[in-house]
Amino acid sequence: MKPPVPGWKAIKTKVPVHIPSIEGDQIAETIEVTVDAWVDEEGEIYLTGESEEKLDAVKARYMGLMSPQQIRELREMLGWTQQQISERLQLGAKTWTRWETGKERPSRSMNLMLNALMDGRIDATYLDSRHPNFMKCQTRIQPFRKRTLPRSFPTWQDDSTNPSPAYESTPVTT
Amino acid sequence: MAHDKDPPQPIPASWRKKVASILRSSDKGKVIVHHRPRVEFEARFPNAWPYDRNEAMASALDDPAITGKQIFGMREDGEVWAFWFTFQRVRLYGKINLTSGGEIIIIYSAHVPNKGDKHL
Repeated sequence: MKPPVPGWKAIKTKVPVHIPSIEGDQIAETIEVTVDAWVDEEGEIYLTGESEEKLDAVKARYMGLMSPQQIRELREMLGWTQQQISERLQLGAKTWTRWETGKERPSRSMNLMLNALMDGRIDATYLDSRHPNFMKCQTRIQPFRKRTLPRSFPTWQDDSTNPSPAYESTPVTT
Repeated sequence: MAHDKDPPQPIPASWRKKVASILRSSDKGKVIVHHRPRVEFEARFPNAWPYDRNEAMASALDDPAITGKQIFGMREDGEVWAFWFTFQRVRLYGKINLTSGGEIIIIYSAHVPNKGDKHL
C-alpha cells in the first residue's frame, strides 16, 4: 500500500483502548489492540481512519453497544424505513443513518432502548404513544373528556365572549 | 518564520474550510492521526469517539474569527496550524497539517494544553 507521506513505512502496532465506566468519565478497563499504522523516519506512529474504526469497533463491543450491522438488522426486522424509525425514536434526520453506517455510535442509554426493541420488550405502539405529536393530538381531543367528569364539575363554555366557567344545570344528588 | 511570542493570526478561510470538510468526511483514508493525540484524547474523554474529536475541531474551524499559529518545520510537507478548540467545555490544543496534495490531513495534537502551548 502506498504511504500517504513519502518515507513512511507500514507497521502493525499495539494501541491502548480505554473502556469507559458506566458514568463515562472514568476508565473502567484498558485493552491493547493491534492495528495497521504508519511510522516515519523518527519512529513517530500515525494511525489511519481505518485503524481508528477498528479500535472503535473493539471499544463498542466491550461497551456492549450494538454494531452498525446489528442496528441495520434491527430496523429491517421491524420492517421500518430509516425515516420511520428515526421519527419513532425521536432522532435527528441523519442520526440513524450514521449509526447504521458506523459513522457514529448510539449512547449507552439509547443502546438499551435498541436492545429493548430487539427483544420485543417495547413496540411501535409504545413508541407512537410517547411521540410528541401523539401528545399534541391528545391535547386537541381533551374537550371530549368533560363527558367523563363529575356532573357538577365546572366546564368552559364554547362562547369565547363569555369565558367564565358555567356549571352544568343538573344538580348532583347525594 | 513565526515565533512563540508572535500574536495569533487569523487562520486562512481556504485552509479552515478544507480541513473542516476533511474532518467531517466519511473517507477514512483522508484523516491520519498521530498515535499520541489519539491515546491522550481517549484517556481524557473515555466516553468520546474520534468523530467527536473531529467534529469539535471542525466546529472551531467553522468560526471565521478563529485565530491560530502557523507552525513551520514539521517533517511532513503541507500547511500546519495550531488553534484552540473546545470539547465538553474543556479547552484543547489542536494542531493539524493539511498536506501538500490538499486531500489528507494529519492531526498532530488534540489535547489539554501543555506548558508550552499556552502562548497560542
